[in-house]
Amino acid sequence: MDCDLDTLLVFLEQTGCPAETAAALARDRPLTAQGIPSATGPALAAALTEALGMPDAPDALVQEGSLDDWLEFVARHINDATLKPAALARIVKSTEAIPHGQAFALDRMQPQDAPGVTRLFHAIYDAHYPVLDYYVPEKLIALNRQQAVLTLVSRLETGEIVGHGAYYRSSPPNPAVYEQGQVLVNPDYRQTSMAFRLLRELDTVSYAMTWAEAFWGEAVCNHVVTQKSGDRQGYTPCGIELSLMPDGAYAKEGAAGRVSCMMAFRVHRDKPLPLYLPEDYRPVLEGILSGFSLGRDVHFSSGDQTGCRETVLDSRIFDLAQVERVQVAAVGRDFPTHADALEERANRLGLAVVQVYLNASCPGTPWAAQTLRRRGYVFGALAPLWFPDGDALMLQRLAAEPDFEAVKLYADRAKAIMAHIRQEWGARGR
Amino acid sequence: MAVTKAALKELLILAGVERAVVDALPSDAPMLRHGIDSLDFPSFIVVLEEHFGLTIPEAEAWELRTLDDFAAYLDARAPKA
Repeated sequence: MDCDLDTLLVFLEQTGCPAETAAALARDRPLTAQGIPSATGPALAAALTEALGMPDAPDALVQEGSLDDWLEFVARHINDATLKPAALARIVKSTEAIPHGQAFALDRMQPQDAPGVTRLFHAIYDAHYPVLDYYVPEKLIALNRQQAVLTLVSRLETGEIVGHGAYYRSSPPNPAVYEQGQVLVNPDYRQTSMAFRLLRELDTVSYAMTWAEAFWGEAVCNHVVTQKSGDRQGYTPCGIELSLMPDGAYAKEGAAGRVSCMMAFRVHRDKPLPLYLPEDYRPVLEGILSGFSLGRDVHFSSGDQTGCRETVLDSRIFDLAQVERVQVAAVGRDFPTHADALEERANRLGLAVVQVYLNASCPGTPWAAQTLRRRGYVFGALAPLWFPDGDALMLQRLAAEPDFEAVKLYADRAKAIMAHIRQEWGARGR
Repeated sequence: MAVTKAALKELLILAGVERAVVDALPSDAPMLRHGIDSLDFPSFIVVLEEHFGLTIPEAEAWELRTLDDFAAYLDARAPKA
């Protein structure tokens, strides 16, 4: 987790500094020179130690530090290994029994709800949620202010938080694309309609997010309830992410082995884009595109046009899931070299899945897709607006044969995608 | 005015349940054992609340298992529609 300026300002507010005062502070001048009381420095240092596991702040920083000085101090010392136990200890210390059977109300998360949200994540995931942001209330408040996350909560009259749902920026490089998810319900409130009502309220909120271009979700395929919910909300299936979730993640639901996910999108604000796609994938891609109303200049080709620039590529490995997600913003002539490096890394690290998202506004994308297919990749998805300037064509490499029979699908369009993938998987190397 | 089972079935369809499932649903059998799933059921509750202009408390909603249960419950609550 990082602690940016917005998060630091939330910590400052927790010491009693009014939000409008904090927002107006110059970054490079000592806080005490801007009317902030001298008692604020020690309070801020103590808050950072308790919440983030920071070491004691030096006296000069406490007495004369500017926002930039504090940020530099935090950046130098912040460390997930010390942050996590501090954050969890703070949650445990504040945890109280949740009253049973109370009425609840749905609302956007208010700053005072944030500690309750962290307690809910802890109640459900214990220490195992992979993103530490959700264990630090100040970070969660800052992410909401930045519109990186939109958190909905289900709140009891007593103020405790017993349900959560969110839109959040996740893997897509396009910041105007939000994932819907993190629907959590306190175990004592699962025998209610809360999850359904959270999803319904999220849907209402999405239409007020006038800056958002698209929403998407990954529905697990060990059952169809989530897919059905997405279908009713107007999400269109556009891919199958085979073997995405790690072994054991859904064992409580009776799933054995890795679990696949169905990717679905709902586009709210489209923009005209070129779309370069492999001819071999025309049937499955036309099927997906028929589910959307996109303004696209579509070019199918056999992949004989190489990239013309250097490849621009970024990637992230999800250690727990043994998954690597690779974002190829631009396909260059050197793409095969990158593909070889991905192969080497996947084998060395024993990755179960590598997903490569190719920016399909690049004329070299069909060629890049062929490059990947020669290395055993198969089709994964066509994700609209994934990049700021293009849709994504996703291909996936699997270390082991997926359990096709275990993949349960709800919509016919998803079943058609799966039929294509299965056929392509069987034809690999022929 | 009594709430008819036919009206409840139409509201089930409005809640998103497939017509074939609704048509085959006996009025005196537990809905959750006859094709109504954990998504359909709360969706039906919300549709009922909106249609009849009332709030069905969670504890009471999950005690209603059959269409007959719902009809009796709604009759007793003097629905507006």
